[in-house]
Amino acid sequence: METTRALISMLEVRRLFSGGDSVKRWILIVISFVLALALTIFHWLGIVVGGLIAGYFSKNFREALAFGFGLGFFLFVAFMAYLAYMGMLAKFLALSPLPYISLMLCLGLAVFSTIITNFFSPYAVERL
Amino acid sequence: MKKLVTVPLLFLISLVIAAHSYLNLLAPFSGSLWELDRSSEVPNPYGWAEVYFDEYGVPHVIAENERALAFAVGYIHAKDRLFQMDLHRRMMRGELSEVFGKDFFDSDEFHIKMDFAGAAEASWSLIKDSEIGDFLVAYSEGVNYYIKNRPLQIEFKLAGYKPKEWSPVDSLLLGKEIAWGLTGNFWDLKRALIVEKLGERALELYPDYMNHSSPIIRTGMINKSLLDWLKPFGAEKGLGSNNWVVSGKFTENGKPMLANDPHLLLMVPPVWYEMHLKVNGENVRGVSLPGVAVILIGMNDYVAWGFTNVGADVIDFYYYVWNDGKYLYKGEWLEPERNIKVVKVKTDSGVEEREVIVEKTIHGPVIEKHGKKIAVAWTGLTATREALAVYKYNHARNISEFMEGLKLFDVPAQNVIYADIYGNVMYYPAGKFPIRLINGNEVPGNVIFNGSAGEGEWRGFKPYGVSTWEGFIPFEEIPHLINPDYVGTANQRVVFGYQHYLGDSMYFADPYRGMRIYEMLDEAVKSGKKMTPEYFMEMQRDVYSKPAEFFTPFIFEAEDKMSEKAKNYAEKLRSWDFRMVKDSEAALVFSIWLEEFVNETFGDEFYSAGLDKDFYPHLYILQNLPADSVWFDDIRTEKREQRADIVARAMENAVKIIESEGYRVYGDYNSLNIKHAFSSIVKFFDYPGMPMNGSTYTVFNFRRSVDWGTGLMQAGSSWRMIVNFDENYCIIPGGNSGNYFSPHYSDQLEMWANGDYKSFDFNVRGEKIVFRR
Repeated sequence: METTRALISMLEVRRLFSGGDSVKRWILIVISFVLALALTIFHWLGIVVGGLIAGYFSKNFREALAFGFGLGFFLFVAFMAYLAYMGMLAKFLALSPLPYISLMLCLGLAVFSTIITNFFSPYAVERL
Repeated sequence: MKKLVTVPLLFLISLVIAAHSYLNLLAPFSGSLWELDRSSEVPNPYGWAEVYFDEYGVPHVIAENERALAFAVGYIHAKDRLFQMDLHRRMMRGELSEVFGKDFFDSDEFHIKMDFAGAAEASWSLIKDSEIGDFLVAYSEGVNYYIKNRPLQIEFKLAGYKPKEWSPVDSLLLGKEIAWGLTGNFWDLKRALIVEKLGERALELYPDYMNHSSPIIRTGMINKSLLDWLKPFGAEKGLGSNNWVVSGKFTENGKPMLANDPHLLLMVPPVWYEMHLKVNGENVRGVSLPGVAVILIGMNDYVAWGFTNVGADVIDFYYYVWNDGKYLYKGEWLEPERNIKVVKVKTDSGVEEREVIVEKTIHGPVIEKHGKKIAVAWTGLTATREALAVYKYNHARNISEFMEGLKLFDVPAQNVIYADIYGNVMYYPAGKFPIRLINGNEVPGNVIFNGSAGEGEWRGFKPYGVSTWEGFIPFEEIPHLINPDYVGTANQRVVFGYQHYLGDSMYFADPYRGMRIYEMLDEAVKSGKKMTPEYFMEMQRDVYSKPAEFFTPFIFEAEDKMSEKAKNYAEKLRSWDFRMVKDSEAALVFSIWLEEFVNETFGDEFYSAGLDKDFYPHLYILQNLPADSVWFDDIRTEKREQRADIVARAMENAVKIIESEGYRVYGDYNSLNIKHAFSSIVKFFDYPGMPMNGSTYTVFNFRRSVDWGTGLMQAGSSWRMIVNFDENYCIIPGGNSGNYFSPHYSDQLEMWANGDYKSFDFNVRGEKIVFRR
């Protein structure tokens, strides 16, 4: 966590939130989603990294939870869009129960990751 | 806060640890299950080659030399069918239980005891220095390049294992598998058991070469338990094929025309892999077995050929006097060759090692189970050259070059039909047919021989070695036809009145398909209308049931003995055209009635003797039994039943079945259900179901239920091909790719079910993979 903090501090991201600038915070959340997507293409740890970053910028536990679910669904929908583009979606959906397991794993990694860093977030105005 | 954070942290860690393998498999994007091979460049140590995948995923392979071609073929076989190749290799080597668990140990035990791998090694030793040797080595390297460098098919990931390296022996082993599947017939054993249980009177049901007073048939050498154990591993009962060839005199384009549709088990992916190969400017196209580098059935620029199974008796069984682990052979006590093989078996508590004793006598491997011990001689258990034979077919430019290949076609004995661009046609049942002697006299091989007395031995046959074949029917003496007007084969008896024994009636199929093929060919010739590919398509789509034509009069004769309801159902057959089409109610009634009629006729005698329907005689025998035959008598009743009683009873049963199952038309009952090897675990690999035309006895062949010992499977036309050298057509039941996510996984299935075709040509087209040195 310290490393993440140091990295964010180094990038002066923290400054963006001064004065409670929610637009800039949302931009960072979106960036974390995009980053997660880029990394997830190569490894599922991308979901964890994205979740950890999104959790860090969440205002409270509920928001972290929402971002966790949001990130999980976002990645899964993006994955289904990719499958549709490749002409594989119908076959993927027919693989029952594997698509459900895939979705659950994606949501689980994202949600637990966002919750963890939210405990360390200096931007959290409240815990819940 | 630190305490609180440990809760989600622990959850995350637990999730990652517990589901690590699932994550690697199923994670969005990076999960290995979604990994596809999209490589368009592959290094090839033998030189340049290009593979174009056309609109049906059929590869068109062009290469600068034979070995570059073989490497590319190995790569694409692995790309599209590696799991199928490995599954069959595991089965033949007796390695299924290592991966799929203890339920497969019996299969492993049988295949290890038979030592098919040893026979494949003998074949490799014989042909490795021939022109196909380097070809098979390059092919294996192509397969191995894929295994090492490309994503494996989903099935490997779900089963959690990686395939071992491929070798030329593996290719030959798969050749042995198809040969065994077509000719590894346990009929001799069943026949002995039938005689033991039902007496020699039962032999009237299995005519031709019946041996009422044969001293060879003894009792107690086998039992039902042994046969039950062997059942899943023998030739698939009731499978057959059609092929016919017509001289250019009777065709519209003046060239010979040839059709072939081998009937095999319908599987996911299909048995065959279609491909087109081009090297040195010469084309060959057709179907290969995944794992075998050559085109087994197909055409090149000059010739076309097709197969049906001869079905001849090329397997014998021997019993001995045993004493203290030695067997008596011609007055001497011999030690069988004995090896112990260790089989790894996956169980709930980990991998367990089990020993299998492999014993071989002078005649072949010993099968010992349920207190019975017999040795097996099968023509495929020696060094054979069928791979080289087919390689020669691929390269043949005329009938004499093709004939050079035919002479090398040792197993499985096949009815080969041939046509060429010069107007020649030919029928040749190629293969090795053993001659059995007792005291110098030729005897039929449908009995269990006294191995200790050296009876019925095959001279010149050396199991797991190189045979000299002098005790077999010489190639030139095998009955054949060169340039007939036309000829059709459908696994019926090759010829009547032949001097040598080829097999009794149970080795050959019911003659119905053969009759119908000749009927249609005769009709076309008589009418004077020149035959076209469309006419051959009509023939391959033909669903006229000869059994329906022959058996329905029995039904009408017995109507007086039926209830009103059954009579109403019987009446539906009055105006029927005998066509087994999916929307026909009459076809439904007849089909279920026929099954019941067979059971009601033979079930009482056979089941009470401990024999199941696997032992029933051919339908043609039943058709020709006199109306007052003793076999129609139900031995469980006081009354002496006649055929009409049994016909009526079968109709009553059929009505009950139709009504209780809610069948309306034939297609409700006769439906397609082609399964993948994983079907008992997951269904998503299976092909979609659909109502089907056709039956076991129609030319358009579909067998809705084949009891293969390991469960009910379906069988039918595994490849339909029509060649007249100007317009050629083909289709397979499913798709060319075995990759679940491929658009070519099942893209030909519906066309196949509807009797449609696609073009079978040499036009290179589609997406490309380039192979470079």
